[in-house]
Amino acid sequence: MNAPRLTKNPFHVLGVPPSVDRMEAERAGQKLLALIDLGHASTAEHASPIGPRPLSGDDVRLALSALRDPTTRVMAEAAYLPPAPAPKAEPPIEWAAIAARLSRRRPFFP
Amino acid sequence: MGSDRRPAVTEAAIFPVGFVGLLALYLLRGFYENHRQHTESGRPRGKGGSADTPTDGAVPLFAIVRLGLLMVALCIGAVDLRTTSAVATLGGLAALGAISAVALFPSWAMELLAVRRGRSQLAWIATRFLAPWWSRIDPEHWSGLQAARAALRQTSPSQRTRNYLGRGLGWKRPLRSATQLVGRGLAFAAVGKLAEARTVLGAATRLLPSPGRAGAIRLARGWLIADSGARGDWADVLRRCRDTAASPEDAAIGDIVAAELGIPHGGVSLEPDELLWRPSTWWLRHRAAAARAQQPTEPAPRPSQSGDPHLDALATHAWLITLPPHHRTQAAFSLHTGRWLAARATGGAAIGRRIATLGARTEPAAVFDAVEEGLILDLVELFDRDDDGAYPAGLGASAPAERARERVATERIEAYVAQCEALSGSGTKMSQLNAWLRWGEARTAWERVSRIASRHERTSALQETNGTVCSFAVDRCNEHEEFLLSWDVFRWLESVSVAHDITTDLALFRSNRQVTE
Repeated sequence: MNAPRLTKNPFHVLGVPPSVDRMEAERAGQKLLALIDLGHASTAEHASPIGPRPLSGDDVRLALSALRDPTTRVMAEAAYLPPAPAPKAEPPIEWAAIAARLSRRRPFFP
Repeated sequence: MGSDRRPAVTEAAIFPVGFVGLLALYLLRGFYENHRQHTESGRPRGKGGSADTPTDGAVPLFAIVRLGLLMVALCIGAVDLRTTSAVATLGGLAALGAISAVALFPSWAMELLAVRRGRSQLAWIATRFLAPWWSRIDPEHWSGLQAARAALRQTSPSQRTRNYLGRGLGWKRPLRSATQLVGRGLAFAAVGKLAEARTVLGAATRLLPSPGRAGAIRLARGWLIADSGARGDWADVLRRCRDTAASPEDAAIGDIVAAELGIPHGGVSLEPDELLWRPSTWWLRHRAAAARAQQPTEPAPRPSQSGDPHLDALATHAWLITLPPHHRTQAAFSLHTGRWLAARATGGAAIGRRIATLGARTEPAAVFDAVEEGLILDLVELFDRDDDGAYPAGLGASAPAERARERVATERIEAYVAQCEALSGSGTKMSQLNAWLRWGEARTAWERVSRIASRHERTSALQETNGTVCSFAVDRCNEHEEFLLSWDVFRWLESVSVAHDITTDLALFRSNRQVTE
C-alpha cells in the first residue's frame, strides 16, 4: 500500500488543489518537470501543511503517477490539508559565523 | 670614607639548595610510585588492587616536607642576595617568585604551562613524576589523560604527537581505571576519531561515580557536552547537564542553554553570570542563541474545530508533528487520537461518494487505512528525529500514535538485540578497546530502547539478552582480566534486573559484581 503522506501529498507536490481534473494536474506536473530541468529557483521546494519541503523531479513523477490512478487519487484527496502560509522572511542571524570566528576548531573543556 | 662599597655580585647569589633538594624528592617519589605500580600491575584486582582506589601514599607528610624545603630555599636566597643593583635584585626576586609558584602550585603550573599550551609530552612527563605529590589517584594513567588533554588543545596535532598518543601511553595494558578509559577517549578526540571518542567517553560517564573516578568522569562529561554543543544537539547537552551526576558547572551550562532555547527548566542551580567570562560558555550561549533563532519558542496553538472532523484530524496531525519536543505531551497525543477516531467514524459517507465519482476500486475503510498508515509513517519519522519529547502511553491499539510508538520500539529493541549478539559473536578475539566500544554501543542502544519501550517490552528484551551479556562479561573477566569492564556490565545487569523485577540470574549478577569490584 502506497500510503499518502501529509508531507508528500501529490497535490502539494504539484501545487494544485484537489478540485483539479486529471488533465489540469497533468499539465501542472509537466510544467513543473520542465522548470526543474531548467533549474529554476522556484522549484526547489513545495508548500505543505508543515512548511516548505524539498522537491525533486522524482517527487513530481510519483505525484503524477498517483493522480492518474483513481484509487490512489482518492487516497491523496483524503489525506489533503491546505498548505500552511509561507513564513515571513527574516534576515538570518550570523551567529554561526561569529561563533566560528571566536571558537576553536574542536570543542574544548568548559 | 668611601671605598668600602661592595661590588655588585649577582652571579651565584641565589643558590637554590632547597629547590634542588625539592626536585630530587619529587623525582624520587615519582620513581617510587612508578615502581610500586609496575610491581602491582600483574596482580588481579581485589581488595586494594583497583586503580580507581586512592593509594595510601604519605601525601600530607610530603607536602609538609615540600613547604619546609621551600622556606629553607627562601631563607638561603634572602641571605645570599648580596647585590647593590636594584635591577638585579628585582630580577632575582622575580625568578625566586616564579620558581616558588611552580613549587607551591605544581598542578596549576602544569595545567598552564603544559596542558593549555598543548605540550603533550611535557604534560605526560610532569604528571607522571609530579602527580604523586598532589594526587593519590592513579597518577600513572592520569599522565596519559593529561597528555591527551594537551593534544586536544593543538589545532592540528602533529604526526609526532599522534604517534606519541598511539604508542607511548601504554595502550596495550589492560584497562583498569576510569582515568585510563577517559585518557583513551580524549586521545581519540585529539586525533579526530570523534565517533570512537563519544563511545568511549560515554562509557566512562556511565560508570558509577566514586571519589577515585570523579575527576576523570567530570572531564569526560565536559568533553561530551562541548561536543554535543558543537554539533548543535541541544537535547543531548540538556540531557547530560541535567544528569544527577553532573557537576554544578555542567548544570549551570544546562541552565544557560535551556534559558536561551526557551525550554522550561526546574530552577537555576548557579548564577549564570559567574560563568559568562569563560570563552567556552560564551560560545555555548551564542550557539544556543543561533539555534533559538531557527526554531519557534512558542508552539502554535492547538487547532480549533472547523466542523469537518476529517480536516480537523489532519490539522491536528500537522500541529502535532511540528510541535517542539518539550511541548509534545500526552494531552497532545490524546487530542490527535480522539480527532482521528472521530474522523474515521463520521467520514465514511463522503469518502464513499468520492470513490463513486472517480470510479475507484476501493472501499472507504481501505482509504482510511491508507491515510492512517501515512499518519503513522509521519509519527515514526518524528519519534526517530526528536527523541527528547514524550511518547504516547495508554492510548489503545487503535491510536496511530501508539502504533507508531510500537514500531519504533520494536526497531530499537531489534537493534539492541543485534548489539548484544555482536558482543558474544566476536568471542575472545575482540581487543579490549573494541570490547569497550561494543559495550558502549550496546548501552546506547538500550538507552534508546528505554526512552520509548513499555515496561513489558523492556522486560522481554532483557530476558532475551541478559544471558548473552553476562557471558560477555564473564569472558572479558576470565580471559582478559578486564575487571573494570566486567564490573560495569555486572552492575548494569543487576540494576536493570532489579528495576524490571527479573529474578533469573540476579544472584549470579550480584555475586559476579562483588567478585570484580
